[in-house]
Amino acid sequence: MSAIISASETAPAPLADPGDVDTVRGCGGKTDRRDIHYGRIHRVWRGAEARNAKPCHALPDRCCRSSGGLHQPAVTLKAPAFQSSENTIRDWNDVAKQIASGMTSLGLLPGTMQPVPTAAAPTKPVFIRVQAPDSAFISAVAAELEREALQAGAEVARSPTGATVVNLDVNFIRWGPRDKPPGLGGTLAAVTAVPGIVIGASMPMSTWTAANAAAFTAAGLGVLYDAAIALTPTMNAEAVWEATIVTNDRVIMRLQDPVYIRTPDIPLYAKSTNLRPLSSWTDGLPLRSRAIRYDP
Amino acid sequence: MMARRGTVLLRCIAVSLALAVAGCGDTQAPADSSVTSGASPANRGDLGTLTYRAVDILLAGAPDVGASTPLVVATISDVQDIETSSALGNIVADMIRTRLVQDGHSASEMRLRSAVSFIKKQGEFMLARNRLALMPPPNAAAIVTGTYAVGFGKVYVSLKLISVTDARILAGADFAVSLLDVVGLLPQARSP
Repeated sequence: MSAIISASETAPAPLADPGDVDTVRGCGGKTDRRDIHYGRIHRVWRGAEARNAKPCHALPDRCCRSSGGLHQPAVTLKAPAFQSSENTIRDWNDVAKQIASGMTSLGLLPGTMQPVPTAAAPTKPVFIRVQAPDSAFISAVAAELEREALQAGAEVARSPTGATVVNLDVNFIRWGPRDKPPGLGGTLAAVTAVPGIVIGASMPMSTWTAANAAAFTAAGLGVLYDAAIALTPTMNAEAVWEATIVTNDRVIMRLQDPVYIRTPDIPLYAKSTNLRPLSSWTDGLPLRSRAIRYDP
Repeated sequence: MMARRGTVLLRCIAVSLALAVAGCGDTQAPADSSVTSGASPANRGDLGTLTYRAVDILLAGAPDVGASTPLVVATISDVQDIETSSALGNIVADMIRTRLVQDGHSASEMRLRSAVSFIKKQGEFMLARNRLALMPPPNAAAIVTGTYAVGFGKVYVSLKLISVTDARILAGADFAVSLLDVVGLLPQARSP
């Protein structure tokens, strides 16, 4: 379906028979002679004819030249997909639950829903490494993950030695402002419809009902349109959290998920310091101490 | 009937105007990301906040320093002359000790006197810098120390957690504080 239907034209030019070479008027008002097989666009054209429109098949360049806004290529439509948004502590807790669930599925946390107790080896203690210590989001997720691990029956280690290490990190992305049509257009259109009421009412044999209905419909649509424009934020921000799970010095799982956040909430996800991820150590030798000597 | 509908219409328009004005309040900040902006020394907050946060980062960066690891805090010295310091270097060191203890770590006070010193018209003192009056030196596995440098508008402080056995730097944290906030703690900044 590559035909472009222009509704800006008035009455369509008479079309020749299928297979003929036709002269088609483009959107820009220029007359172009192109070989268009009438039969191929017949169906599209018939539909457009009823709306007093005109096809611009195979004339995208000419059609768009008259309109500066159409110089850019059309954006590919994206299929709608769900992405969670974070605006409560419960949302943050859900992130921790998601990580805990992933760990349980790998046997790194004891499962609370196991129907039959297995004789598997006991799980290692869990050490939670916060890579962004000044991020409120990561701190909350770490605290909730610790709670989840304890609730599942695992032990929480204070050192990565011999433990399953969960490295938690987050990055935010704030996209640039998007173009937004000027507001109040719908309302102004509605205001201009008000004189229509007066004119309609002053006409002989006119009914107030029809005029009122038209005016209030226009007003309602205009207000709705402006409300939609005003309430749609032009800024868009996302946070991408990441959990890297390491055991025996091997990365065995990495969870990553983007979430929508509000732009004013970015400080809750921002970090000035980024610590490197830790691996699980096996040689857990404590730091040796010695007596401090005073310089004479 | 018409008057009532006209009122409704006017209300709709007023609501729309209010929404449109509210919609104009969007911040038009440019695109940004924590990946592109990168890490930087913390610089938001006063000296105490920044010091406490730096200690937290030091400890987070060295998970092998446990609660029972004996720690000692030394004065933060001037980067240009590391055998001198100021009120700034000493108060930062004291706040580091405070934060370490708040975090549950074992930190020793090197300046503790072995006997109370009574000084007329001054008070009773348990701290000293006279090594003959001090308690025996404590054991330590790691030392927190660092340097500071005075810039035109900021004072940069760099803290390090160092192993005493092999001088290995276990963790580090930097911050920058506004010079106006600490000018009273820096003798060279006060003098013209």
